[in-house]
Amino acid sequence: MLVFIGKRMLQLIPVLFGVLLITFAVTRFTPGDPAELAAGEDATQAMIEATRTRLGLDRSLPVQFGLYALRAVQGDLGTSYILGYKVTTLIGQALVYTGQLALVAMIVTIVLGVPLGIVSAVRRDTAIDGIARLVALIGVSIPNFFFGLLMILLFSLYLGWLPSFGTGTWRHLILPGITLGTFSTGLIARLTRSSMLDTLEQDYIRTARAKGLAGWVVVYKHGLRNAGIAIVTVLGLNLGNLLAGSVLTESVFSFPGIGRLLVNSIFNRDYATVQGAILVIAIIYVLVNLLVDMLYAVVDPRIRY
Amino acid sequence: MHIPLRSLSRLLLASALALASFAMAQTTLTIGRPGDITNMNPFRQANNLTSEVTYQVHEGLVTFTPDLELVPQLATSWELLDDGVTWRFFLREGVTFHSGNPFNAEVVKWNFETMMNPEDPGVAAGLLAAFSEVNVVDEYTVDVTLHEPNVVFVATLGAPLLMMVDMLHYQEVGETAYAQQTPSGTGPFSFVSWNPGQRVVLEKFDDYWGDVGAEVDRVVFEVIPEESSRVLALRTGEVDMIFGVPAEQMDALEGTGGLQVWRTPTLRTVFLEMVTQHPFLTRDVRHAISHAIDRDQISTIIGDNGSPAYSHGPPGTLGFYDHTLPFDPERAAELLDAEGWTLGNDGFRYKDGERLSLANLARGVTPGEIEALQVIQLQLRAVGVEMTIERVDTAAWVGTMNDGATAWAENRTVPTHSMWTSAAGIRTGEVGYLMNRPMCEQTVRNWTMIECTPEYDEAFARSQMPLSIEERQAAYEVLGEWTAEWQARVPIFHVQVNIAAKDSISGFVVNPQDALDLRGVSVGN
Repeated sequence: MLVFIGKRMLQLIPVLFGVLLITFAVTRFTPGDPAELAAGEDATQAMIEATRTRLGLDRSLPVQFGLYALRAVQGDLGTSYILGYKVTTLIGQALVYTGQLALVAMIVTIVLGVPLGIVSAVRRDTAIDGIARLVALIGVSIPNFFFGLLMILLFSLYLGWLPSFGTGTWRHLILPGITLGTFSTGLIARLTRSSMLDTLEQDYIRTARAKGLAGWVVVYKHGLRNAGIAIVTVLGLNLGNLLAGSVLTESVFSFPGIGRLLVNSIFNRDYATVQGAILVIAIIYVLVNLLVDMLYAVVDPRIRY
Repeated sequence: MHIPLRSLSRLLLASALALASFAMAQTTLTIGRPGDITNMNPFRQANNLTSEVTYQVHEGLVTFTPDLELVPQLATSWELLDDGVTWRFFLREGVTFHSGNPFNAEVVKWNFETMMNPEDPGVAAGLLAAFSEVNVVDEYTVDVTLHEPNVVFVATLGAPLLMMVDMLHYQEVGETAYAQQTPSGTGPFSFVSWNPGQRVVLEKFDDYWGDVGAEVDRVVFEVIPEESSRVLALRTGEVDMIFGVPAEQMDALEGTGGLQVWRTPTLRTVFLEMVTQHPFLTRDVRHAISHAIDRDQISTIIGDNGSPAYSHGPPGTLGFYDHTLPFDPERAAELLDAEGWTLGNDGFRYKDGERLSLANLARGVTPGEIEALQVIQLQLRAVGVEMTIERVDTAAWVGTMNDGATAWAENRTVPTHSMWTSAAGIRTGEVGYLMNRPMCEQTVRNWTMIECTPEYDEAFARSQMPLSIEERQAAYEVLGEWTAEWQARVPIFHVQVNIAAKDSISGFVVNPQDALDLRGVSVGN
């Protein structure tokens, strides 16, 4: 297991170097001049040049990249062109918020999505299945943006139970968490249903039933456990997505997560922040995938590393 | 039973504290805005969202009233000395910064020199280009000398583009800490905290030199980027006031119990601009396009986003000159026919097999901008001109125009882009702020690529001189005539600022320069 983790960590190095290089290149070849934007609307040419020098953008591209890579290795992702804060500080703060939101969304997904899929599969082609499938379909098809506003209307404006925007308490996490979790809830419910249906048709399920095991033992121990690999894989991918931030949900709920940070930085051509955020998101994806691979061994004891 | 004395005293202390905090319950004004500040450093700040906040903390030597009258702020009076180029400012005495440091002539001198530092110029350096040097006369008197006679200089200070920064404090904490954590000005509110992407908190400054009518202890600027969410946050009562109310919701909010709305006309104008060196956009084609635009129709469609514009500023601003052409589609068609653009079967005009098609680069940053462009698109379609609307972000937009203008200035390279939409405000209250700068020596900033016109440049210089109002207005008329002849920058509409708030809020001022003044604000109950 440790060898496996070690190998995977080594794989991180080329992946992250690739990410560094690609984001550096993409930001540099996108039209728009960061010095121009950082200097402001009324800036003179002299001021733009001074800003360019201050940001280090007057150097040649290879030198810029070399310096950037060298500092990045030491954990220094530079300073935001627009806000003047350390990029690591900005990303750190945004990640804490995004992490909280992702956690709530994951809980919603697991607590609602998996049981919905199981019920749907066990009560296949009944009214319950129909309703569960409809709920799942709405979950995957309703736009976050629209659903978020509906949630605010209902729970903040009409009922007055929860805050409509911002951060601060656990209550601030509920509406955006649920909104963010609806898509994955629908997705997981549909996936759980189809893998469960496959599993429940297997011979060993019939055998288990034949030897008189209780219905729930068959469904959970023999059914869900075997359907688990697919569910865990998709949940893992989903966690990666959630941690990469969601601009729409974050905007509707004025949530200062990494999605909004990244998009604002792109509009401002804040290269330092864009590169840093993408790098961090890439690391998260790699780590989450590693975590998923390790979980396989837990879900399916036949898998050994 | 024995109650330990320590526990009892703790209990008493706790209840006393609770009582005290109840008695001193803070009043807070929470404002929901579409975006965040970029920093709290007046030498660096750049946009309206930032200055709305920094203006509460910092002040300039002079300022404008909502009626655009230039009045004293940290300077009590000023005069032009006999040499015609030196402005003497008499400063207010007994003013302290939030840090406790004194405000005096030395501070003013340092502020000018920091802003105008040739190595690292501040944000207003370009607009104060006439500045030459600053000298301390005595503790409360400074002389500012210019390169050339210029009367707009003082108005530019009132924009305010040069806000007084606490010199000793700035030097002590450094630029970064000042910009992020510890700004110190002389304004009615002092800085408490800033969480990037979330909120800025200010509190009332008790030692403010002036009369603050404000009945509020704290002001919180919340970032709520999505406009529907902003409206909902006001309706739930989580914020007291919101900026950037969508125009189509103004009437509904006005009719909602417990809420009030403000419609403030501003000096900000949306322009349709044309590249005069583009092969299609000859003088007569530009005139034809201008004749095809019907501002009344645009105004009907955009509603509360703004009102029709005919000059660089609304009537009443110094230098106002209607430089638009009357709505006359027949005249437009005549001009296009005469230029050899003939109508094809599809309703568009062609010359040598090429369609008269122009791409308008639009950022869509001003509410109503895209709607107005869609109306113009139909109006131009009616005379056979195709205008496509190409959405770009600010960075790409600025880049295209700068690169094109530079290439033309340096090598007479024929531009490939033809048209764009801009929005800008006259912060000095006179149109010269926005008019084409003298063009004979310009390179990158001459975006419309108008040829060097010495008569224009000369009239521009005269319009900025300390002459009588009549003489300056006469100079502005010459500029207006040229602008009308060129038809390179066509005013479309003046932007209206839409604000909604709870009924209990009163006493805040948004002046037409988009500057927010919270001196007299009261939260009520």
